[in-house]
Amino acid sequence: MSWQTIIVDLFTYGLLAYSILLLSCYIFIGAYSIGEIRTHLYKNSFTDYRQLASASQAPGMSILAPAYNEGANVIENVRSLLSIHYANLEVIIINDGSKDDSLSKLIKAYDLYQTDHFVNEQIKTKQVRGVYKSRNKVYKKLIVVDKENGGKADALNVGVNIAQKEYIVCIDVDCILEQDALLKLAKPFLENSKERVIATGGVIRIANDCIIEGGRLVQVNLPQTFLPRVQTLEYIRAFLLGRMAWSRLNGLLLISGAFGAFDKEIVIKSGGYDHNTVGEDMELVVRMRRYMEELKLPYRVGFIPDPLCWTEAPNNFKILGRQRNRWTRGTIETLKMHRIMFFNRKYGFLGLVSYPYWFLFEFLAPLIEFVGMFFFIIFAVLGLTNWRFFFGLLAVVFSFGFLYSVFAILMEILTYNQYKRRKDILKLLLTAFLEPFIFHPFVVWSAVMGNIDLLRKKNAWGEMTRQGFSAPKKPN
Amino acid sequence: MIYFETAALSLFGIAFLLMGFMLIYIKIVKNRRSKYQKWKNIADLLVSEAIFSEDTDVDHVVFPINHRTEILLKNARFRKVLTKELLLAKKNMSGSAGLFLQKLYLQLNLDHYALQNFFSHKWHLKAKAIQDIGIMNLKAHLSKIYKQTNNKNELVRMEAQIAVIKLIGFDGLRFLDVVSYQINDWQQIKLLSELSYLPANNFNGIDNWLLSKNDSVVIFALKLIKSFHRFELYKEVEACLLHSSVNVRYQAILALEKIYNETTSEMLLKQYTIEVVKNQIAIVKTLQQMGSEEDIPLLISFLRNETPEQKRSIVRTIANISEKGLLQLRLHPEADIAPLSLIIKQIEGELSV
Repeated sequence: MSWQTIIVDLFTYGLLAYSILLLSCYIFIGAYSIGEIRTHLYKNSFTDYRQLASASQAPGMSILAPAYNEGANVIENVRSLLSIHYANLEVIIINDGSKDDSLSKLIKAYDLYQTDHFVNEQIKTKQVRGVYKSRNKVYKKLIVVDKENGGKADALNVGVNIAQKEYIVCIDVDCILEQDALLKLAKPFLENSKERVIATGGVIRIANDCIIEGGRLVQVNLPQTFLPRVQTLEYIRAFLLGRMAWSRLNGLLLISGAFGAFDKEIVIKSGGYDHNTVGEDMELVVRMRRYMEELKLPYRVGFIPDPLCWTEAPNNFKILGRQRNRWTRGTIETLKMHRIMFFNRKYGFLGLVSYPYWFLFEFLAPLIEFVGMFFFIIFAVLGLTNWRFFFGLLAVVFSFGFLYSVFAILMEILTYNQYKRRKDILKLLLTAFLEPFIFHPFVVWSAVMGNIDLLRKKNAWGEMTRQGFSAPKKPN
Repeated sequence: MIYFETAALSLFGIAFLLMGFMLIYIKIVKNRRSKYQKWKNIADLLVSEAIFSEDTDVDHVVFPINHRTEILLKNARFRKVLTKELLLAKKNMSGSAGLFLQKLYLQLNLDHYALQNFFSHKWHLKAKAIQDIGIMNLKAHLSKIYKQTNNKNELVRMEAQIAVIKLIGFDGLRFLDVVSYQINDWQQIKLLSELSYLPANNFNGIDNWLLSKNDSVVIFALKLIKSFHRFELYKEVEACLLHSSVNVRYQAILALEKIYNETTSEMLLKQYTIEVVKNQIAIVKTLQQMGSEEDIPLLISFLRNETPEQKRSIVRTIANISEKGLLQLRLHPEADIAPLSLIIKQIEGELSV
C-alpha cells in the first residue's frame, strides 16, 4: 500500500465517518422534533389566547424595532406594530442615525414631541439624541428614540435601556407579525414555574409573494421564484424540525434576530447585545445561557412552532450571498467568544452537546464539504479517485438530503399546512430535488467566503436591499 | 460500494413513499373539508333547534333527530364536529338556551363518548373530555373531575381545575387545599378569568390557602384577595410580608394596594428597607395610590443609595402624591446632579402633558 493510497483512504473514510455522524444527528433531530410539535399542538388546542390579551396579569412586553434608513415604509411598519393585540405593551422604534427622512416622517405621522426622558444607561451605547412620544393618546404605546448610528446591536441596547416592561421583544421593523404573535410568545414565560424562561422564539416564514394589506398578512402564497421558494423550504426544515428538537432538549443556541422575546433582567445582567459581532442575535442567547449556567440557575430557552413572523427573503444571489456570509461570520465570532464552553462539563448540556454540535456541524460542515470536493478533484486529476465510492457517497448524501426535505414538507402539511394547494406542494418537492444542485453549492461557497472575510477582518454587515411587500401577484 | 447504492436507493424509496402518503393525505383532507362543511351545517341546525326551542319543560324536552343524523352519529368524526359546535354554543349561552344545549348533548349520548375519553390513557383525550364535561356543566361527574385536579399530567390537572370551577363555582377552589403541584402563572390567569364570570360572593378558604406550603397556592390566594377586594383578610396579607419567598411578598404588596388602610403606607415603608429591589419598586409604585405627604420625607431619604430605576420610581411616586413633593425634591442636595436632575425633569415633563 503506497503512502498516496493511505492518505486517500484516510481522507475518504474520515469524510465517510463525518457524513454518517452528521446524518445521524439529522435523523435524531427529525425524529425528536415530532414529539415536541405534537405536544405543542395538543396544548395549543386547549389555549384561549384571548384570556391573556385581556388579563391584567399579562406580563409587560416592550417591542424593540431598530430602523436604519427605513423611510419608505416606516410609517406603515409602525402602524402594523401598533395594531398588535396585547394590552400590556410598549412599542419602541430606535432610529439608528438614519440618513433619510425616517424621523421627520414619524414625527409628522404620529404627532410626536421630544420629551425629557431620562435614559438609564444600564448598557453602554452610542449617544441618544432624543426620545419622542405622541401627543395623540391613540399612540400612547409608541416611543421613538433618535440616536447616533451604531449598528443594530447598539440600537437594540438603547431599546433595552429605555424599555420599561419586564420582557423585550426584538424584531426587524419590516417584519409582518401575526396578530396573536405576542400572546403566543408571552405564554412560555408564564408556563414554567421550575425553570426561568430567559428567551422564546417563534417560527419565521417567508413572505415573498404573500398578500400584505395595511401591514397585515392577508393571504399566504408560496414564492413564485426559485430562490425565495428554496428558502421557504430551508426555513421549514430549520424551524419546524431543527429548532423544535433543540428546544425539547433545552439546547437552543439561536433565537432569530427577526423576532424573539427575552427576559430583560437577564439581558441586562448578561451585558446586552454585543456590537463587536455581526451575529448579535446568536451571541446574546449564548451569553445569556452561559450567564445562567455559571450561576447554576435553572433556566430554559423556549421555542414555538407556530408561524408568528413573516419576512422577505433575498431574491437574488448577490444579496443572499451577503446574508449567508454574515451568518457564517456571526456563528464563528460567537463560537470564538465562548470557546471556553467547548466540551466543558461545567456548562452541562450547553458545553457538551449544543456548542460542539454548532462547532462541528454548523461551522465546520460547509468547510469540510468544500475541502472534500476540492481534494476529490485533485485526487481525480492524479487518478487516485475511487469513482464508485465517490458517486456512491454522493448519492447517499443527496438522497438523504432529499428525504429530509420531503419529511419536513410532510411535517408542515400535517401541522400548520400553510401551502394548501397540491400544486404548491409539488413545487416544493421539485425545489427539494433541485436544491442540492443550485442552492446548496452557493450557500457552501458563501460560508467559505464568510470564513475568508473573517480572516481578512472584514466585518461589514452587508447591505440587505429588499423589494418590499407591495404589488404582490395573485396566484393562479 | 454496493452498500452505498442500496442505501441511496432505500432513502429514495422512503422519500417517494412519503411523497405518495403526502399526496393521498392532501386528497383526503380536501374531501374531508367538503364533508366537514356539510356536517357543520347539520350540527348548526341541531344547535339552533336547541337554542330556539319553544318548549318550557327542559327536563322532558326531546329534540327530533332525523334518520340521517342518527346514522351520522355512529361516525366518530361527525360526533367530533357536532360536539365542537355544541360546546362553542354552550360557552356563549346561559339560562334556558344553555340548559337546552346540555339536554341535546345528553340526548345524543355525547357524554358517553366524553367519559370514554376521560378514562383514556392519552392525556390530551382525557383533558379534552374534562373540558367538555366542564363546559356542558355535567355536575354528575364532579367527583371524577375533582380527583384529577392534582393529576401528575399538567394539562389534565389544569383542565380539571377549570372544570370544577365551571361546575360548582367558587366552591371548586377547594382543590387548593390539596394541590401539591405548582399552579403556574398561565393557569392562574385562566382561573382568575374563569372566576371573573361568576357572581362574587364571600367564598371561604383563602385564609387557609395563605398558609399553604405550596408557594403558588399562597400567591394565587393573594391574587384572589386583590381581585375580590377581601378587606377582612388584611392581617393575613400583612403576615405574608414576612414570607420567605420573594414572589409571595411581591404579591402581598400588590394585594395590599387594593385593601389598604391608613397604616399600610407606614408599614410598607418599613418593609422597604428589608426588601429586594423588585419588591422595593413594587412598594414605591403601590404608594402612588395610598401614600400621603407624611411619607414624602422618608421616600426622599431612600433616594440616597438607590439605583437610577428605583430613583425614577420614587420621584414618580412623590410627584403623584403631591405637588409639594416635587418642591421638596428640588431642595435635595443631589437635585442638580445627574441622574436625579434628569429624572426630576422627566417626571415634571410627564405631569405637564
